[in-house]
Amino acid sequence: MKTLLQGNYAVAEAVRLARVQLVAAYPITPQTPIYEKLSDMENEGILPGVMMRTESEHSAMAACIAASLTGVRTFTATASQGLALMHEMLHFASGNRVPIVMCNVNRVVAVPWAFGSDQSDSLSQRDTGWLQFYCEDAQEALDTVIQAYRIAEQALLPVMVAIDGFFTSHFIEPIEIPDQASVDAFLPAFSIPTRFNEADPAYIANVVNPEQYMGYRQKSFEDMENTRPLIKEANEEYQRIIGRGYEAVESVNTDDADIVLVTSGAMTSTARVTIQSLREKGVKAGLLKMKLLRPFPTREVQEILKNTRKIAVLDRNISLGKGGIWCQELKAALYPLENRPIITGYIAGICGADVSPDMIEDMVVKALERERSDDLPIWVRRDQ
Amino acid sequence: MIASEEQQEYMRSGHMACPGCGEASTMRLVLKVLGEKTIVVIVPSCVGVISATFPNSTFKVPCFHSAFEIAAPTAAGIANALRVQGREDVTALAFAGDGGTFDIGLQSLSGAADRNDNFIYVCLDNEAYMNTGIQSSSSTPQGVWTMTTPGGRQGRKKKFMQIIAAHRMPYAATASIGHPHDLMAKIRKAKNIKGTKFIHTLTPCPTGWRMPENLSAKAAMLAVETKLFPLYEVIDGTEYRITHQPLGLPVQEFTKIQGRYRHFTEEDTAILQREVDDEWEQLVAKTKGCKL
Amino acid sequence: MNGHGITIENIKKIVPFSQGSTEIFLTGLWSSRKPIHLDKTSPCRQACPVGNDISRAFYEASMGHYDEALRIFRQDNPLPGVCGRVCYHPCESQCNRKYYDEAVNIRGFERFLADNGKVDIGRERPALLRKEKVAIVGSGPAGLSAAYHLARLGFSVTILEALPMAGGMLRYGIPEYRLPKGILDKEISYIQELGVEIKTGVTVGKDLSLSETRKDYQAIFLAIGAHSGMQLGLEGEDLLGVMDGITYLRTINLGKKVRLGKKIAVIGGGNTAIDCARTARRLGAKDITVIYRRTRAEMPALAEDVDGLEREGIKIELLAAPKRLISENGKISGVECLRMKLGEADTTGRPSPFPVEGSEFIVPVDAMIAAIGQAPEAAFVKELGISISKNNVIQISSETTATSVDGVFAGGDGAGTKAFVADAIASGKLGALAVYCYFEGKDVKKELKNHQIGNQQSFSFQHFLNPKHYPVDLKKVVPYEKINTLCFPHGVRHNNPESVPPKEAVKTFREGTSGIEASRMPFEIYRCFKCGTCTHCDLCFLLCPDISIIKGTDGYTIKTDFCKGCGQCATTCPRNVIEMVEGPGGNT
Repeated sequence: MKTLLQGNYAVAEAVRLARVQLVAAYPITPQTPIYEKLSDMENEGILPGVMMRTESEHSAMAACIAASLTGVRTFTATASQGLALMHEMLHFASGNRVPIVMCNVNRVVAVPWAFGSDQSDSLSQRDTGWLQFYCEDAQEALDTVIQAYRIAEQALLPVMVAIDGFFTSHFIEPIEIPDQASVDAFLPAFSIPTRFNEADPAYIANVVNPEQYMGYRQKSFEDMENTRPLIKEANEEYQRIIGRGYEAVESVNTDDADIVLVTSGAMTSTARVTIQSLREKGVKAGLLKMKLLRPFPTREVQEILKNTRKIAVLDRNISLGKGGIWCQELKAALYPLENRPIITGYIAGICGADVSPDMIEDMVVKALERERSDDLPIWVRRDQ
Repeated sequence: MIASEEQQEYMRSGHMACPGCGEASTMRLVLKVLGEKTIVVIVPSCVGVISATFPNSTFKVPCFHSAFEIAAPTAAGIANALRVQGREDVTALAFAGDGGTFDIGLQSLSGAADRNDNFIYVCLDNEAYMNTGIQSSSSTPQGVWTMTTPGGRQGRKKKFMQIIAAHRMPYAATASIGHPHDLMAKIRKAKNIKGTKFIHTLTPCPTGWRMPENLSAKAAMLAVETKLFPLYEVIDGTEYRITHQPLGLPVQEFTKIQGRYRHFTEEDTAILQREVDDEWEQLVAKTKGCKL
Repeated sequence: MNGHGITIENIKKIVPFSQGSTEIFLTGLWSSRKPIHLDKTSPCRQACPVGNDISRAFYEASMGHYDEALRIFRQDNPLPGVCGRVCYHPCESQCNRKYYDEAVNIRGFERFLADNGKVDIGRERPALLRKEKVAIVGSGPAGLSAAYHLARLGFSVTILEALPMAGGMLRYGIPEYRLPKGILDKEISYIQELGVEIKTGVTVGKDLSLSETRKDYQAIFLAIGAHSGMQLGLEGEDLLGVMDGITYLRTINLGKKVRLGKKIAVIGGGNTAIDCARTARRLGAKDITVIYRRTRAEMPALAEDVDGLEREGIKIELLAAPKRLISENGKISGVECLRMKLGEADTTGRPSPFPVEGSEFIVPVDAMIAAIGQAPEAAFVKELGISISKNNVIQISSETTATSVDGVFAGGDGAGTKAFVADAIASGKLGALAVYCYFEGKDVKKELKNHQIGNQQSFSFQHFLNPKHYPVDLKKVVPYEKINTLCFPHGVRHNNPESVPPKEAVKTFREGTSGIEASRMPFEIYRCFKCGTCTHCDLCFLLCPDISIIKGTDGYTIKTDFCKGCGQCATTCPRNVIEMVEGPGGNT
């Protein structure tokens, strides 16, 4: 049975079902409803853990790290400025190898002040050592949060689950909420041993020398690499128990496609419709949905796109001086291919600006006409 | 007298503190009282140096080297996790310097104090950023020399206990290594109170205060006995009690042994003395009518 | 169930997880200077002629161990109840606390212990008894002291006393209101309990010759005192109504009556003079004048006794000296005096008085008591060939108490030592050491030096018996500057309260002061700095940043491998027990 829920509430339901023991949060638009919903749950006595209402996102993450080290399952959610404020703590979490799960509701980063969706906030944290998942809709958000705990706790690395501000976070969608028993069957109780055992005391995170530091970084890198099968296995197990699943990279009609459109997040739903209509018009277009940013699914995209001649990448983010971040990541991933495709990067939907099916159609068609890759992205905006 | 369970040491010799370090002795006494069921949070400060590098530790209890500005939320996170785990017999303890407390960590301490999370916060105040090489903090007294205030600091030392009292936390106190029994009694008290407990300790730094290393404990005593750093406690932010009646020596007894005050003129000292006297009177006024 | 099978061992491999000890770093190598705990000597002890270990007694008392505190006093002094009342307390004059606020009431403390503590004679008894017999002539403070210490050393001791009861000047020279006889009796009884035999009514030189005594005993200590009052050297001293002070006091203390009349002049400024005046007042004299040739500051009598004198309505005529005695019908009727002026200091350091010409005045009297000094009655010692001075003082070596005759020693007033009780006790103590060395063939000067306290004549009997019992540097005296006064709150001195109001006092011989109240005593004990005596206050232990002071059951040891030599412990030690030394430093 499905329930009508906004995406933020769906995330809160996932937190409840994951039996999170400590939530630390701070309000920020458009994440706030997650925080509020969890507070309601606490008030009703259905949240299994404790809530810490911190005075900042930075402290929220600090508290999550500390609690996680102590040996409990933790959650926080944030967006935009909040995530930027947390930046130092993101390194701290991954360096400490704590399995925190965080939901980031994508929102532009000031200035100018604005509130719409933009993945720049979380994409710019890609080097902080977190796994990052981007979700298309509320259902995926709920399912991904639960999956994230299993992966994080196996890998001892933190996981960020990103959803588009206002689109996914606030749209009310019919959601299937799994039953607790199924979730429990998928996600065992938190069992990472405490780092603070008075019977076997240790000093955690003290200063190391350069060789040692590099050693720990290499180990973390390898462990991040080793999450690839864990991610796959978690999804398969989830599919088996709960009946839904999401590939790290989802391909739609790519096998015979003359052009593949690459998207992520909520825009993917619009792209699905567009691809369908282009097919009906005779354009052999395919779709590639990027869910996983870190670890980057290089093998998967190489395999899917090795015979694709033309690619259009749709980025709701911008790295000044370079272009769309997904586009850059993809270009780097495809570089080893013998037949490197022609890639066109588009910047669209920044700050939640409209990206309609006809705009996407236009982008795909134009990209199909291009005979060479260009360094610079093409900005797609409605006329003002 | 030291209680028998406090005979144990929870810090080891061989740590990296400078000779005569007031911080190391303070930490040691705090841990002596709290005992083995303690989780220590430290943040970048001299403590980070004292505690030694991987793979060694000066602590015999679990310890976590957190980030500079988050001593309080780290301890709070641990405390809440301990509550979830039913390990409430374990004390979460945060050590932070004056920089980590008065400056960069003020916000997060305020947040934790407001939530009244169950931990003890011990500020090791040596009145400047000593670990990075003697730079001024908002705890550095007015006029004092540091590497970043070569002509003497313009600002005045933050009245931190007033900020703390404003949070109305269940227990706050000043303590000094020069009065170890008083310090230990306060930690003992804090251990048995639920909620956020704040202990402001003055920890003389021979290196940063520009004085011989044998004088740090004596400097701590002088700070108390000149009324410059009175020993008192505040319950619920309102009930004040002076725990040690100072001898009331002139402030220059304290300043004259330190190079950081060397350039003080007689007038500077007179100003300082007036300020100390005024503050003492204000403190005494606060104790009037208190039930303690 | 551990859902993911992650163990702490897995975690230890992926993050810095430090479980090693910093004790692999020998930070002791940072400095060659290390602290050493060693008790030192308090200035009060140095000043005490008897060498009482005052600060240690205060320390024991501070823990409530009053009996032990008394035992410490009794290590050196068999008469704490006496000294606790009548001593001139040079200890208090040198007390470091006087520079801080007021000297500690040390004498009051000693009295408190003697009055309230329990004496365990069993602990004072010697381990081994010796075969040698020692005779002591005289049972005053010097004789009692020598007897006590010799008995503790195992000798068989007999005191030969001429007067009917033991105590010498303590019994016959000090009035009851200053030293109740019961106190003296009690302390003498302790000496007897140690095995000392006291034969009273035996006058050596009359009932028994000194040479006979010499045959019966292998050594003799002459403590004959000075019981003969000195004369003014004026015409008319044989007049009726003229008496010397010591005879007056002895007569009263023997229970006899002396009728002197209403108006009395007492000549002199020492304790005997004051005692005579106050005794006469109690016996009914209304108009008493003490005549002294210098000023009040030079009076040898204790200031508090002079105060008492004045409170009791006795006049003091300062800067005056008798020139002539005026008589009427063979009886004294007045003393003609001369005004004096003070000039250059004499050999005693006091300014010499000289008369102002033409300043004669007359003090009319019914009687006059001259209390200007006493001399021994020592002629009988010549029988053995012992030298005496022209003042009848037995000649001894002041460092060894040896007379010119082998095996015969002498001390106290009779041998010319300072005339105070404490000095007599000290002299007896030194005599005991000398007798011991005589039998052991040891050099008394060397022994004295080994156990000498500070730079004074006194030595520690405790240290002599067992130097390791309380390890202490007897030569290092703690100056005030080395006291960490930051550790001590100011506090008002507790004096011994007057027990009889002055109006009543003139009618009674009841003791004039009472002991410090038991409820107040701890405050006075707390006031004492306990200079140089480790009180195990733990300050050094608690302050050590390097956890390098180990607290043991009876002291502290230094972990020299880790001590960085900062010296905080030495600087902050409240009582100067710790010092920084080059080299390995170490332990008590």
